[in-house]
Amino acid sequence: MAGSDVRKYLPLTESTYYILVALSEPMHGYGVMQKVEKLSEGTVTIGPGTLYGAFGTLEKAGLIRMVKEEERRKSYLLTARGRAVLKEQITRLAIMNRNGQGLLGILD
Amino acid sequence: MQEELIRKHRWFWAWADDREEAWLREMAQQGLHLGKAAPLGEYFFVRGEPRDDVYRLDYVPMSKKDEHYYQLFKDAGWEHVGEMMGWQYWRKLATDSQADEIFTDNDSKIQKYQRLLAILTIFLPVLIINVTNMGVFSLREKYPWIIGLQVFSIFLLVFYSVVLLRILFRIRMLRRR
Repeated sequence: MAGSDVRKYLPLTESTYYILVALSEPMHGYGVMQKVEKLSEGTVTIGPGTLYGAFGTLEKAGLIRMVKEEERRKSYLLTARGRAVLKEQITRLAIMNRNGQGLLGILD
Repeated sequence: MQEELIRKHRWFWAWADDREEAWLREMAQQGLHLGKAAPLGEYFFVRGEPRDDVYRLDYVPMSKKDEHYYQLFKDAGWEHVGEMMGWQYWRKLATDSQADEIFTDNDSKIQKYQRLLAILTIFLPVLIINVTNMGVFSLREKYPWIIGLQVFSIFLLVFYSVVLLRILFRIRMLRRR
């Protein structure tokens, strides 16, 4: 069971989830936008205003940190806490998914 | 050839900036492209070919401005058209998809109005103190101009409070979604 410092961030919104997934490797803003679009198969789009705000909020919460700054672009990466939060979220999603998969056939 | 700037005046309410965005798009469709926005609702347009551009307004006060903000928007294909008292005007060719939005979730839309509210709230105590001070003064000295000034500052305070309440109401509506 994860600690309360991890649980208080859960559940993540869909946008935040994908931003954290994208930041499992160092990436700058526009890179994150493109990666999220691709990973989510076009179901999630993140606008620059939303992403700029999210970077600030997530950095303040200690879930991501700036690792590089060049040509007016900041690159971010998950921190240890960010990884713990993402891991716990993925575990929860897996449980939800298991529960849902069994129902798919009978819900039609 | 000198570009001719067409001046138009239009009041815009801080809580209804989406109406402003729609109006700027209509103007662009008619071939009037925003060149500059100035305080007190003054807009300067450049005449050109009609183009279907979407306009989006963000509120970023002076103290929060930084070059990474502008770069991120530019990378995402947005053009910075101008700035007016903290309001940032962005434009991009319309695609009628999610790519037309600078804010793609409710939280970030709410945060925009919260930034605005934070700045506006700073001036509220000044207005209240002004009204109280002048109230005391106008009771003591019964000059008509002081009473006039007093009425004016009360009007200003009421107007200001209405603006604050409308923005708060907008935030509440967004929270409910």
